[in-house]
Amino acid sequence: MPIVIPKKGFTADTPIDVNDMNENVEVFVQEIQGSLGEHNWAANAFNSENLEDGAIIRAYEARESVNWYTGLASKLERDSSGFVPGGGMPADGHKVSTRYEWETITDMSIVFTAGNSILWITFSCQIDFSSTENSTASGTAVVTYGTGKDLPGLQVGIFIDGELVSETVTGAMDRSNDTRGEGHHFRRDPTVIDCVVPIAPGQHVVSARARMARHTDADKSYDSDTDFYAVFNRQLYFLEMR
Amino acid sequence: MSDSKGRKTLEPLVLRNQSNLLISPAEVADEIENLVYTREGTLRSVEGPAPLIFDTATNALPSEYSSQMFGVYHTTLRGGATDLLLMHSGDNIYSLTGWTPTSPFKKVVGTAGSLIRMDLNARDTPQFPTQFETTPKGVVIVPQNEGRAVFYDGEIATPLGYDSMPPAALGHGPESTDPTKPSKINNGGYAVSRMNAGFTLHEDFGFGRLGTIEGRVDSEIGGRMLSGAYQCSYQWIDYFGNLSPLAPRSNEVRIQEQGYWSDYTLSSTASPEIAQKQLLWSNISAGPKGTIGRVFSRTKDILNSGTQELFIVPGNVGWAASGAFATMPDNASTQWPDNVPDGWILSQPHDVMPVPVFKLCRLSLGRLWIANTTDDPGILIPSMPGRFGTFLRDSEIFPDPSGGAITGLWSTPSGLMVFTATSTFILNVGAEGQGFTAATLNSNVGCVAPSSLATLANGGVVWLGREGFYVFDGQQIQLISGHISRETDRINPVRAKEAVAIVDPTSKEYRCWVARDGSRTNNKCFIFDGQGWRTRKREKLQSVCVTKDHRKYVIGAGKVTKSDSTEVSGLWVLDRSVGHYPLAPVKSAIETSWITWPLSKDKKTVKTVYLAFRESYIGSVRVKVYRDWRKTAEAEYEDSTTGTLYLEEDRPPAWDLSEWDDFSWFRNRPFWKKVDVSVPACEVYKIRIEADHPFEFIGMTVDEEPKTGGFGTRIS
Repeated sequence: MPIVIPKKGFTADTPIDVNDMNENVEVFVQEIQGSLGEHNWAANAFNSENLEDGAIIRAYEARESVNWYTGLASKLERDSSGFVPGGGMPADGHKVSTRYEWETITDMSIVFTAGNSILWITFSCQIDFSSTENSTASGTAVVTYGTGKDLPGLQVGIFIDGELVSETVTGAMDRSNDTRGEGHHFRRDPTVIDCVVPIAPGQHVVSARARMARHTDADKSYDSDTDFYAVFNRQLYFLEMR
Repeated sequence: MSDSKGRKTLEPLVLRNQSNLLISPAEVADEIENLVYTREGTLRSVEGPAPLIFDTATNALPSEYSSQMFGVYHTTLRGGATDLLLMHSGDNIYSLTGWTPTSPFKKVVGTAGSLIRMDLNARDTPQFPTQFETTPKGVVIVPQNEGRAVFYDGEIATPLGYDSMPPAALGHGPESTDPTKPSKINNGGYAVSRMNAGFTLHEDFGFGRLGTIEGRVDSEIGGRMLSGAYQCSYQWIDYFGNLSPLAPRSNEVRIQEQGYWSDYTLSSTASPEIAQKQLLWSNISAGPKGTIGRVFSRTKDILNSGTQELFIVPGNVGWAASGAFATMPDNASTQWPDNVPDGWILSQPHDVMPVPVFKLCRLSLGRLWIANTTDDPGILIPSMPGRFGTFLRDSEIFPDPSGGAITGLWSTPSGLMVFTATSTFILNVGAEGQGFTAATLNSNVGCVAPSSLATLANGGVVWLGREGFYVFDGQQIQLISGHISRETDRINPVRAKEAVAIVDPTSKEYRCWVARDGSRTNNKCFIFDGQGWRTRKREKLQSVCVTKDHRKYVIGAGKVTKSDSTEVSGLWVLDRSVGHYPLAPVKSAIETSWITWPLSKDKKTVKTVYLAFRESYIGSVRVKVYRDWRKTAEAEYEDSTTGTLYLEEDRPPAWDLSEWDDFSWFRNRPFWKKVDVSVPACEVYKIRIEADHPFEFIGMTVDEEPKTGGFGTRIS
């Protein structure tokens, strides 16, 4: 409701017309029955002392901590007996299937109900991979185990009600001559993605999902016991800005 | 009591408009001042105005009000979620922040502490009022002191677009330490393989993508990457989506030819694509305040692509899918590793001109039109659609071939009306939607005050020209103030450019405040109701607006006289009243023309005046009667008590005179009041009714008694 002013100001010796009197009251009644606006409060009236928690912003979070370190390397690389691809997958880690399809990362899904508002969604995680492919440095016999040179990248993205927010997807959208253009392919790689999205009133589901990108050879498949990506430490966090 | 035989009663005079012609019909008044046409068809004394904000305990006004007011504007943004009331007062442009009586405004533009620091230099020289225009992205504010226009959306304020170009970037690429030796080609500089042979980048990043490949399909050996060259440029982009001019082109980055049969640095079976490069562009400057990104442009391979044009470089990650607004979506980084191949760059950048300092703007045809720049008063420039602070080079128009300064812009369904002081044009989209065409509406009639333009309820456009007020009905331009030219000729021509007008959403009247005689402020309001004119002197307004929300308030910025005769400056809601705010009484008056010239050769005696009022005050009006073309200081007849504004035998309940439970509620009733006057044997006469308290006038009539045998107009 903006600032409103009576239609007629009564002064001494002025006959009182019933319509004038009613209209003077109606203008306020009508406004109050509508919605109050920013100009109806004193400047700086909104502060933490007179606002309930969640009146303007509500926060939602899902998180998972993963013990992924052996003391020497990632558990995906090595167990106590040495290099074992995929052998030490941590219990709380999320193994990404090799089906090349989006799947919800374990525990990274939040159901909530909101009115018209804007969501600021952030998903952060640590990515690792396991591979049986080794690399040999030129002119030497030294092997670098499990570099997964031919392993396609991993993509993560934010979904709202099952719909992908496309700009959150990690990696490029094309291949061109970039063999790993579709996703990340680094060991213990920290990744953060975010987006700001308006939503309609009702119940919604925000989730973080991941998939292994498809190899340039579309028929190529990987053994999900040894050649795969995993998501370790992760947090899905968003603000509902009302 | 006089004998009523032989008397003649005039037809009721329902006076609603005035004329200054010497000979006017009796139904047209000579003056109607400070009376408002009500929705019930009567004339009622001006109500209020009410101060928009004041301390109800002390009657003090906000401290931001200055004695010099240059603008007021209301609009809503984001579907009504943002309510903006802007005010240019003194050296600052303010935005209303909320209800608090002492200091309810924040500074948007002006002195220290403003969102944008700018010297507005309040001065008393004649100038257009501060101009405001709402666009879908925010309000454009145009101060008139040769300062830059500002874009404001209630939270963020930036200068409108960019008035300068970014500095040139610096290009880096591979260099050959010895171009004559195959092993020394492209082995220095930026993007040199430190990894496996043949890779420009670390293998995890893939290959480079820049460089033109020449294949060898007729041979088992591979092709080669040809020598190439690249240049870049970039533009800043601000919060409102406006682009800066393009930076000057960078230095040329050259890549030397590389391939199996040219230098043997690649194996015979290797794809020549592995020799392609990545470039680095540095010295990319951060933009001024309000910049949120940089749009990067680059040539394709100048030596091989056949073009030297610039093309916008998309971001590496999902440009099209994300709708990213800029190649570099930040205003901090200074380098851009460029691995975007020529095949990905398709769109050419916009060749943007620096935003000039201008005086006028108007949203029309999907663009913001700016006009009357400091360097070129006759210029008119359209913005890009949707980018209301971005103006392309060579898009300017000069509607007036003689280059006359543009003095007004107005959007109509027929197109954009463009005015100089002496001519009027209309501009529209050209044939088949290409370009714009300007047609002359009138080469002799122009506009002197851009803020005097307003659209009537019937679609007609009204404005103040040199000779008075004009209307354009979609077909032709007509002078509509000819019969009040005695009044309009007194408009101060030097201050005419400061005239301000609105169409009142309640009464549908056009109201224009102008400075008359020697006044330096707008001290009189001309009111046109579509049929005729009235005047108003209650407020001295330097700017006026109609709120864009459901209230439809008319808010004026200027001065009002208080009951202690002092003038106070501020924002005022017209035709609304806060009864206890101490305003000076308003003097309202109706004065007839000289009645009745066609019969003036026969003398008559004015016997009785009948006044049709509606109950409006426990008091009376002053009735004056003048005779024979002599409007003297002392009227022929004057009476201050008989013309009561209520019926004595049926006195209505009144404020301060009645107890709450002591009366029934009524509507104020109309009635006739008889005033016996005595003006004997006159040729013509006029009647003036005036009061310092409110009255509601319906009409009047007069009883005359013809004087037989005498002579009327003196004939000699």
